[in-house]
Amino acid sequence: MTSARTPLKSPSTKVAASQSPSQASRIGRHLLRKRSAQIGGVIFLLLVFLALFGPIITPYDPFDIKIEQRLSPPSVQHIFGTDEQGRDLFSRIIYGARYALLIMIITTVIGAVGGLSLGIPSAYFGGSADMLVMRLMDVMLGFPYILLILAIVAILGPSLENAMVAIGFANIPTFARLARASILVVKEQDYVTAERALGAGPTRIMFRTILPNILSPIIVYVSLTMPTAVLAAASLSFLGLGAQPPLPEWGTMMVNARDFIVTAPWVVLSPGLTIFVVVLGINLLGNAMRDVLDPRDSATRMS
Amino acid sequence: MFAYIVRRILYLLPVCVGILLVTFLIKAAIPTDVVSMLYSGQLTESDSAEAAAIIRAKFHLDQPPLVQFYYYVSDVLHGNLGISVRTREPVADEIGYRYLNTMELALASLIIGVLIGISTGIISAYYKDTVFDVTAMTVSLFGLSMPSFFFGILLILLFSVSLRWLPVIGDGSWKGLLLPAFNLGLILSASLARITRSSMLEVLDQDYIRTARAKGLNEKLVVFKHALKNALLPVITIIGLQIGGLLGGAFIIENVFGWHGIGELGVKAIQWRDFTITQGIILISATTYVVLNLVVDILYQVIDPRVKLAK
Repeated sequence: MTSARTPLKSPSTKVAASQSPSQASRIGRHLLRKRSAQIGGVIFLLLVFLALFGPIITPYDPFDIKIEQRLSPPSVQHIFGTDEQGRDLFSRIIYGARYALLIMIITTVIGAVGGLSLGIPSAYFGGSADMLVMRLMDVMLGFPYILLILAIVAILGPSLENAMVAIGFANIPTFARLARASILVVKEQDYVTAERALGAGPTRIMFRTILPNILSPIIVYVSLTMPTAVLAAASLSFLGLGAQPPLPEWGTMMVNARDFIVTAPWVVLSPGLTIFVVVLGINLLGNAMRDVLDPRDSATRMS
Repeated sequence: MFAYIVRRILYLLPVCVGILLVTFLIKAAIPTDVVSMLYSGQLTESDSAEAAAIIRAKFHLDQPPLVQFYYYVSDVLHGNLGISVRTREPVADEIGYRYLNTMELALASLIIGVLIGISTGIISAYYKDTVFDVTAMTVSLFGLSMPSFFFGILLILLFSVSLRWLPVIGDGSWKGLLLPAFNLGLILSASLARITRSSMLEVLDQDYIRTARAKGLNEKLVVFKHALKNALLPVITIIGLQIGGLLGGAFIIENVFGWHGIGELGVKAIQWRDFTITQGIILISATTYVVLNLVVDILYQVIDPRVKLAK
């Protein structure tokens, strides 16, 4: 909820600054009225809270191996039970919130910064550089999303860092296309011409005049890529190509899932349901933000 | 039409070069010494240096990258994908039957996903805001938020462990296909249902639908002939794009169910650092995706009379 407000409030943007407080609070009010935004917002805030204060809350050390307590079912001492090495699942899940949040932030930053810094100048200047950049994006989109990520992981090698880089990288082309499409609409507007007439350079026009005005589709897209990124990272870890054991990352915690389905289902259910709830929360929040910020586009972009 | 297809294929050329470049990079970026990987244990100390040089020359590893890329592309065009670093078998043989398995799984998932997704979307749009619509859209949002591998585990837990209806691990029979296909298909149907619904709602709001109704046409005719035909057009494009989701999903799901497709092998190959297999699998999957999307695009042109082929 508050995340929609902050970018517009930023004092560095002259154009947006004059109208932003009222506009932002209007958007905020709209969001708060939506049930989906309320549920999603609570889940997201809880995730942030656990990521920040996890170590204070967790009853046990998430790395602490106690073989004699292995695979104990949920009880008063271990409310989610313990895993195959006797580690407390509840503590591991709470620690996992940090990785989930980190994955969302890093992949989004790589995707958005990469995509915007390619897409904005490309659309602003046009010409052959624009052609080249867009063909390059076409090549990246020539791969199915997961496959492009796997290809990059194959090049870089399996680890959490590389998984985040791969996912962020795979997000670049869509951000670039989105930025390009928005810029093409905005760049001929009167206020841009006015800035140019006042002698502003292209960098200033692109990133200080135009960028604040195309933020809302970008914010919407960010909220839609974050759940995909979390799912992709969890899937990579589950396949053994992302975060490696003993990291308490939720996907990694399910690597040996199949061995425990019958004997100790809680080992599988707790991280799985946690991923589900978190992704559902961000999806709810993202859908609500899309309805409020970008109502005309709600039909087509959903995947 | 012919000109369009030719133009569309020409447009694919840079994409294909890009795919080859990425798969080529997989080999180039792997730091392990290729020669020792290929012939570990087969060379004695004395002849290894000399032999290594010969092997390097044989695989053009002594050439600059651009020349190596040329040889790689030429090999691929001749259908030569190299030999597996791990098993020493030709990559094409290792991939062949697995590719068919993956296609079988993808096709079954596609049919399930399209049938369930589109029909749910139509009913939801027609009975907008009813209990059915709200339930269907909630369930589809759940589907979009569910990690596919976790969904697979839940399916195994329910149908194989609790009910004992189906095998835990795929044995190649239709029974083994059922769970992974429903796994991928239901996830696909979640997004298809949402897209069909919104597309259908848009169309049902159009003037020509009001006209058709005002004419006193049978409601079934209005919905299934007038509305559905137009509403499905954008859905077709999305299905083309979702084939990528199915292929990518197969990489994950095959590992959950032990389905012997290219996804199962591909993930192992990345872990084993078997770069020739990895290259081959990524190349063939990306190419399949590109070709299928071309087919969908051409289909779209054939189906939609409004799309006038530009020059």
